[in-house]
Amino acid sequence: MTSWGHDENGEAWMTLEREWMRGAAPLAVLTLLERRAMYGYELVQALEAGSGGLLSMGQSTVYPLLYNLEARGHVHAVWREAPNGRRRKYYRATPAGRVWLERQRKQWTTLVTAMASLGVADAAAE
Amino acid sequence: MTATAGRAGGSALPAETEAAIAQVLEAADLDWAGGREEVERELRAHFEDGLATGTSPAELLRRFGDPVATGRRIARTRAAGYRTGRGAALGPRMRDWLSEPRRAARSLVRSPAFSLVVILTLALGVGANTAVFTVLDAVVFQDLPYAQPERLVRVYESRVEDPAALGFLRVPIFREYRSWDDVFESMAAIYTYREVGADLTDRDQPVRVTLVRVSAGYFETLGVAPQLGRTFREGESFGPGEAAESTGLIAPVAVISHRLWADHFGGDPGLVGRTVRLDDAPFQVVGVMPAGFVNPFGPEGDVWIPQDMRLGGSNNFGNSYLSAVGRLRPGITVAGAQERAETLSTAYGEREPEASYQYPRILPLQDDVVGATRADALDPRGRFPARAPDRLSERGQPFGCSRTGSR
Repeated sequence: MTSWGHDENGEAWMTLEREWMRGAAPLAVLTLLERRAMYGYELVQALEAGSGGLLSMGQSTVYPLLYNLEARGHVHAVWREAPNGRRRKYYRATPAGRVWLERQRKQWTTLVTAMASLGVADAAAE
Repeated sequence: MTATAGRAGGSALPAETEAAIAQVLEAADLDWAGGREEVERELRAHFEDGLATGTSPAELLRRFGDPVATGRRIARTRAAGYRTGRGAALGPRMRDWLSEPRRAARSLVRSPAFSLVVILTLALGVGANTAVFTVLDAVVFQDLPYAQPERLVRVYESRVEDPAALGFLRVPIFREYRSWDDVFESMAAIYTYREVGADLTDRDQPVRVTLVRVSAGYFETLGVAPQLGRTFREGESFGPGEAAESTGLIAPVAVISHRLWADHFGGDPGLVGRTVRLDDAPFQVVGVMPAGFVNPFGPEGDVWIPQDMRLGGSNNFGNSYLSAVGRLRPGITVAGAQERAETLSTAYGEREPEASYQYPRILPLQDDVVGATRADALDPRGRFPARAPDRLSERGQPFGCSRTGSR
């Protein structure tokens, strides 16, 4: 279930229900990888920072997700040297992944628009 | 599984993070070296990067989440089609081919007792299947080892009052059937009434051999030529003259098997023409059959000698003791031969009272030889023939017996 609260520093947090996360995580990951290639830990940090912690899923979760996107041909991976001098597996969105991402974006936009029309978004914001 | 087993490069990590990686890999059950190594490398990189930020191992592990659940997700992802490492360049099916044997091999090594049971079960299964195929191959799939075997038939003497009965032939009847040259291209007799042995006494120690009496034309009917020498001449079996009351020989000549020639006579090419002694009686070896030649029914012969097929003596209408094999004329079917033979048999019975109420039964030799065995071999209840094909088939011993003693 979705929950809200505050951490020990008094900052608000919320976690998403699994089904929401299942739909949102691939879209979020691919959006980041569309911008530039990233390796695993870098991507985890970017997700946490970019979503205000909302998508700070268990970090390990990102790896099966990346493998799944790779299997579907939405991302391509290559091992190369990172700025720290160590070899890391970099992922980037493929053309097919970008096409898929665009379709997903449209669906999300449509959904959010529809939900807003129904007043769901406003109610959630209150 | 240990944390260091199969480590995929990189520096050593704190024990608790190594353990977490091991848990992921164990739960993922990656089944080929490339994929496992690649995932391990990536996870190690993850923890290296986390530690490099100054985060404690405990905090890293907390943020990492449940390693077992992660491993299972990776396994599900793989099952859905994900592959890494050297398998990635191959199609999914080829990768499966590569990965499944490895998975199986690892499972077998992990459970030696189970592996032993599996191996024994497979061995038994393979052995049983091999045995079954050997029987089926010999009985069902292989043609008889003779020229144009589809033209070969077994000829029985049957009786009007009991058409189902298949009997030995009497010599006069055999000679009549043999003369029907619009039915048979050739026909020959073989004595299978009783298995006969003899001692080969040309050496210090006698050797027991199986003796088979056949009529002239026997090997020719089967379409098998001798490897050396000749077979029996017409006169050595059919006369002239009359048969005696007791068993006799027109000519003391013998054809021997390749096995006897090779094993006992050392494959001597000069054997033909020489005299050997069977039960101390001299026989001239006139021929050697090729390797692999066997009688279609009756005993497997070491030595063939000519059957006296002359009329007279004990070769009369009261003495049924011969088996017969025939070669149909080209173009004659078994059914056609049977129909024609019945007509000829009726005419024969009208002019020869002692031949009344008989008629020939003509059966394809293949069916006759393997018929009963074939039925057993194909029996889904698993009954098995003792040997295949059984040369002494159920029909190999027809009804009928000699009133004057078998010959």
